[in-house]
Amino acid sequence: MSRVLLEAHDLHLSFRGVKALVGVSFRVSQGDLFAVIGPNGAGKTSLLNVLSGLYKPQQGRVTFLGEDLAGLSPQQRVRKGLGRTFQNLELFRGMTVLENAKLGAELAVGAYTDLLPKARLEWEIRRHAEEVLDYLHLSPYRHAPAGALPYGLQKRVEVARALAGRPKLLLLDEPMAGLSLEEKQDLARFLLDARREWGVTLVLVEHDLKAVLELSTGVLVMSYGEVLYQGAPAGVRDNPRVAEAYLGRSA
Amino acid sequence: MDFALVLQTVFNGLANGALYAVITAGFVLVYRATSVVNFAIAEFLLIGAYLTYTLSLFLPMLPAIFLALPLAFAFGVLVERGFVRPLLGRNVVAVIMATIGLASALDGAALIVWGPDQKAMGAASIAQLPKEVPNLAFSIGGVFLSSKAVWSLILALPLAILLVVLLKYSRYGVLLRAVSESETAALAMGINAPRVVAVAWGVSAVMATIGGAFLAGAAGGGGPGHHLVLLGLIVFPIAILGGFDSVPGAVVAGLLIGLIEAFSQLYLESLLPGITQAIPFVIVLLVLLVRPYGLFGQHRIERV
Repeated sequence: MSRVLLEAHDLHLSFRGVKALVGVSFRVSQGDLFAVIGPNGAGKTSLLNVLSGLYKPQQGRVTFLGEDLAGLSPQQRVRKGLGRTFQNLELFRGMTVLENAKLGAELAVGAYTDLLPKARLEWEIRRHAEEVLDYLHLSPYRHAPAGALPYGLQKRVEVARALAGRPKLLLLDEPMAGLSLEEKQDLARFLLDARREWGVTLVLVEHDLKAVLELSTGVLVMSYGEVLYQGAPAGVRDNPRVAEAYLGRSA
Repeated sequence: MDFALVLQTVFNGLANGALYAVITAGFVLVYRATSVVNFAIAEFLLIGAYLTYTLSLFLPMLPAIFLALPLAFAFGVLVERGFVRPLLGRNVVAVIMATIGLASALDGAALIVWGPDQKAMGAASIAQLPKEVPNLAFSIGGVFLSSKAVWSLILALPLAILLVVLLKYSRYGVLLRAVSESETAALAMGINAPRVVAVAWGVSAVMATIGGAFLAGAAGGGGPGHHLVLLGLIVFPIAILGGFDSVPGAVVAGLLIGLIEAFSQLYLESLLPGITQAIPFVIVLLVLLVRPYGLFGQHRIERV
């Protein structure tokens, strides 16, 4: 059993009585491709926002590499190696693809926390950004403004930007949503490659049950903020609670 | 047509335009970073000019201006912390109302602190001569350049250009653009967005102070008074002309309006008295008819 990278313990989050998370606990081990699935409004994105520090849970705690993340800002979490992408694209649209990736890469070499330029690092930043773009087959669009690319490519640029920051763990919020079957397969292959190449552990939030079950090493199924199932992907289909949430109980 | 006169008008126009450019660039910077239209920008000029005035009572003019800049920076950060930050995420109208309220409050505060009468730089009483920065006026071949014009050309114009260059190439500039494109993503990538935004406000106040101090006569011609607030309103047509979200656009538009005003003063004023005050707005109206996004604004294309 490899070591635990991320652990959530008994997370509770509610917005004025609307319960987004109800006692969610799970573990992600090093090298996992951990999938969080559930129907709309299940609390998947809320969970990601708690993990990346945008929301503060009323109860429970998150540990990353054995360290309690409570009180750490989103920025500090990123610097510890917790990257993320967004469900609705949050690219720097006016900047080129390369600039987007470079911004991610700057972070990895610890620049950008300083005011002054560090020309010494510029070369390394650029090289790393180009490498990631190359890896995700984005090199031809390096100098195109990110906002002008087709949707599927923009999704990929977001993954590239996050990967350029050399995260230990990457939280992906519905990276497949809105993509064509072919684009989904491409992205899945890129993600698996990235996991192998850079040893990134992936936490994948997905709406699409089928896409995820083939990829993941571990699955967490949520519904109305509660955990319905946690374990190997093989067991998901046979689980009665999951079937009920997804298909509805037959009368 | 008198060539020397035209050349002189060009320089004077550019000199005034450089002040407009500096002020508007700061104003647009804040808009880019935070999407907040700072309706108190004219009061930023006023406060900056009065700060310079107060310091000039104790110091020579140049040190007074330079010492006013860090104070102005602090003032800008304070405004952001006190008035803008608390309204983060609220309706944009709420923020606009807040800056309008801030404008009135600052107007009143300036009136209480410095009084209603026009001041002369460095002069505690009206009997004293106003202080000025060292006189750099010169004349070559019939082209006369006032000290004010020279100072604004060597100080304000490079500053405006420097801001454009820094925004494009410096690390902090890239950070600011990142925050302006998507604050959520910037935060999630580890960029200290609140600090970047505060710096944008501070820089905006610094630029307004330079513009304000010079418009108020630090380089010759009187001192600060409440008419500065009216002068400050020129920021809006210039920002709109430049595209509202483009700092280079603001600089170009500032210089352009400066030039147009100078030539209008030279040729049109005698035919149509008062036209010079109206002309920036007329130009903006005409440009917007043809290019609704201004000269350099982003063409907004939304994809779903």
